[in-house]
Amino acid sequence: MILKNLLRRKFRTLLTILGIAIGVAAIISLGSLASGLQAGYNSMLTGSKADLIISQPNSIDIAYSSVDEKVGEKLKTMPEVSEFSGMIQGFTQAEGEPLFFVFGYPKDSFLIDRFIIKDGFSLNSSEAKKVKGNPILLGSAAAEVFKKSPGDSLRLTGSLYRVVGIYETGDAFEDAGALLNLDDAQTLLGKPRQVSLYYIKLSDPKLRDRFVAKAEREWSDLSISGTKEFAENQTFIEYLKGYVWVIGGLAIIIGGVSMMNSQLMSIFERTREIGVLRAVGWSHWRILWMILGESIFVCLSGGLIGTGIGWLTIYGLSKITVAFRMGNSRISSDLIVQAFSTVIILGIVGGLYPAWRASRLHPIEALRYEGGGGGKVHRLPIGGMAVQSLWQRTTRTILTLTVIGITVGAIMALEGMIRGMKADMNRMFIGTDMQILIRQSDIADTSLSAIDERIGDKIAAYPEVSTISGILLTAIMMPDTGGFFMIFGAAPNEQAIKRYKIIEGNTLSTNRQIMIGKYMADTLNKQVGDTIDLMGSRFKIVGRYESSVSWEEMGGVLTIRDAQIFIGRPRKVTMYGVTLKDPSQAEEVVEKINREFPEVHATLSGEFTNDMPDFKNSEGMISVISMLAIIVGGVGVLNTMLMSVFERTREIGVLRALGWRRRAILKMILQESVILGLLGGGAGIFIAFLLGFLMTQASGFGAALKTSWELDVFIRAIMVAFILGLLGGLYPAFRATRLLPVEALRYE
Amino acid sequence: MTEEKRWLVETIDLTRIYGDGEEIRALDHVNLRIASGELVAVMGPSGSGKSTLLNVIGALDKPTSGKVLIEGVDLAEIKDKDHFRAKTVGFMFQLHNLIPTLTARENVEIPMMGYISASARHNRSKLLLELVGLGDRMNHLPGQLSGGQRQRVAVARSLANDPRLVLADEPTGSLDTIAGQELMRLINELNQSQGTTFIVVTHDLAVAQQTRRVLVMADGKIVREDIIGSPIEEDLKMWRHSELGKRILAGDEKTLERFKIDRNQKEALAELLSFANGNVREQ
Repeated sequence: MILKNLLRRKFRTLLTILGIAIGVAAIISLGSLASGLQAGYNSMLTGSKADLIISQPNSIDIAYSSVDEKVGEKLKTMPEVSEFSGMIQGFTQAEGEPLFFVFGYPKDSFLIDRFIIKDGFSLNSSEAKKVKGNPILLGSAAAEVFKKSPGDSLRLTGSLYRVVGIYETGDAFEDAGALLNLDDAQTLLGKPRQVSLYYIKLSDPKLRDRFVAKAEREWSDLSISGTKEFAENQTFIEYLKGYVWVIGGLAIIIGGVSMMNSQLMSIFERTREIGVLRAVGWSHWRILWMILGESIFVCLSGGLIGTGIGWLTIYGLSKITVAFRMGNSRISSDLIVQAFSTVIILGIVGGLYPAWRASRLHPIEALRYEGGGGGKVHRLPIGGMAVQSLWQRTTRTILTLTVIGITVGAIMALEGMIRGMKADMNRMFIGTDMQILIRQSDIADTSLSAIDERIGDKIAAYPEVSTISGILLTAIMMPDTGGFFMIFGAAPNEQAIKRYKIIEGNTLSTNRQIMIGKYMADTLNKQVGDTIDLMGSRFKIVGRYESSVSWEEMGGVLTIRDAQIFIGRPRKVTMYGVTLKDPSQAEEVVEKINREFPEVHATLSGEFTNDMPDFKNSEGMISVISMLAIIVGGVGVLNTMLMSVFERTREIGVLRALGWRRRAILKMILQESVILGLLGGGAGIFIAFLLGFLMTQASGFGAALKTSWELDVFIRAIMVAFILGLLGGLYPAFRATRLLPVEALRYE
Repeated sequence: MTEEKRWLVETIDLTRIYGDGEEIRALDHVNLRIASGELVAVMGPSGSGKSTLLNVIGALDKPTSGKVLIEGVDLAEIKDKDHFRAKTVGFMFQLHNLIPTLTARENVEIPMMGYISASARHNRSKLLLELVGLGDRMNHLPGQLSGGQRQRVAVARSLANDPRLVLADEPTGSLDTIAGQELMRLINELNQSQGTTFIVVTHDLAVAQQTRRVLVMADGKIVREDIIGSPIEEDLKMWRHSELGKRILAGDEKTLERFKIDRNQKEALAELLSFANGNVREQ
């Protein structure tokens, strides 16, 4: 009976299933990316067969951890250690790939044998030494995506590398990356004499405790952990998973509301039928189960189809981007269980209200029911046919508005958030007198930018330049608060430090000092004069500052030297701010810097944020979320309008019989759906404000978020809503015009 | 002026067949002529083809073969059927089919939308609702009106564009006897005062008797046509066509004996009722 009921309204059931399927597909495809990455990290780290890992504590990701090679020298002398190997890992831009993982191992590493050469030569071979340019080995999946074979060249962050061989480790994550000699990787990632971590093999597992105690004494600023334990503590992946659930959840909620809508509509339509079932002795419960069963069936089908679409997406994307190779194109059973439990819960939650309503129908009233928008007529004092029709079907209109509202609201909130961050970023630089800002060119994220101080020195010597200040920017995890701690590096005597407005204490005067942002000081309950422990290093708090840029207050300022040591990039800065003697020369100087130093990217400070890779990536993500939301939201509106047309078949027949032209019917339905869209847009703006507020309340990073509502964001939201309404209404309106008056009049 | 032009509606061998496999002849070679200003009832059992006839004349449905001429013009040659439906015919349905969310006045305005300006619509709808006696109910929703009042709104709506022909499909079907009679009285009045031609499909003999011509349909054909006379004539006619009347006039021995009617009395009765024979056309 459940299946027959659903098949009676095939198209609508299909649309509902599709809405849910898209949500599930998003969870499956993005989720498998995250879990694949996690599996990759796990197998890479545990595959090393190392007993212990030494790394920098609380780094966001291995790529952000820095351990000095001096540690390696000391390890050599320790009797408990049988073998050890440094490893540097980071991500760069590579020929159209925004995030490409590279690994660097020393030539004599005990781990190098894991990279089995499938084609070409190893990095240590005499052939590799003969090639022009820096040799690089590509993982098999990466080679496939980039369509490279030995002998080809590959451009990474502006430098050219020569592919000497193709390797395979069997770990999808490693096979989607590239292998370099340690020193080449250090140069590429701007971390000379630094590794991300050390793998350690003990001569006897029993010596573990003794070694750990010794090592903790020796390197109080480092963390020593077992490989498995270390793999599980990668916060970056946790964030990625959170992101996946936010996107997938959004799509699922929209799909779920659409399903509830469709189920409600279905029981309105079948009111008489339910009356008959009740009259012939069906119990409340039996009706409830029938409707609930339909919802669960729809959701499960959505889950099944979504898994298929998800798998196809992963398969398709894995052919064109390395990001999806890291997940091994495989969908973990965990993920499927998660996705299916979500859809079952969705089926129950979304189906419960319609089922309850159906089960509460009184048999006599149900038998008397004559269709239309329910017995009671609601009328607004204003508005024509379209408005009255929407007002009449209140529940459905509200549910549809929710669908559009969430769609538009989510897009708008994200956009507003990015704008807010951009505005903050701009304020951060515009607050100073610096006319030009410089970062490294071809980088995936500003935090990865590393400019050699020698370039800064050369620019400082330009006759046009008045002052130049290096700025360092990074973030670490604070285990106490669970959030980020922003670290800024600035020289005590330079221009950049002046923008931190001291409200208590002093500015920095020497190394091992920190000025702490007001927000962070309050959160951690720190006073001037206290010390603070950051990733194992202790700093004395000398001042407390305020800033109009919220996330600047969520951390502290170190001297540039301390910050460089801290992030393992001696003599490198994230960016430079330049003040000119004559500000009108700014454009010429920008051109000159870009021409003379191709490894950096200079822009006018007002334009800096516009082409920051971070925002480009975020905007890319927003586009993906927007597209997804628009598709699911559009399916929702389409479904509602189709229902509206079905329900009013007779009415449309009457209008046609009374001489209304097809055009007029088309206009009426479109008008209704566009009004629905625009009202949904209004609801979306409200939801955006609400989401924006909720985001700023999130623990950890919420305080850093500030939403910025600019006029064009609103215009875009309304445009999206309008398009949703128009697209959703087009097909139903077309169908309405195709109705034959005679048949429409006969429709029951 | 040609001969055909005298008729407002004329059908020539009108046939409508439904179904692919087992075909149903909803209309089977129907020939019919209705002059302007007539008030005609179409009677017959369910499935006899009454509604199909109305739908085909109203250009809601197309004939399988044959022709419908409206004022001598073949309906098949009218390209803009929407315009035809809006301007030339008005429709009334069994279930009033008013839009529940619109007021009486707005419902009346529907057929005029896209044809005349909003202010003209407004004035005309007021006039029409006053004409059907609902001048004080203009801003009521259909749900706030009685069944009879709703059908009056439907009458007003059918007259919105001042059509020459109104097609009413069982207009009294959902009304009680009194409301039904009142509605027919209104239709009668409008027929006489406005000169609008009405074709009323009905099951109800009492309703049919309030018109001036009755077409009886069965199996897609017009099987009888009846001109409605004065009430006494109608009563006699009804008796003439009743089972009892038929038996007596046929000279059924048992019946004559039972009612103690002799041969002479029977002949006198037959002569008295001979007018009823002449006015009934058996097809």
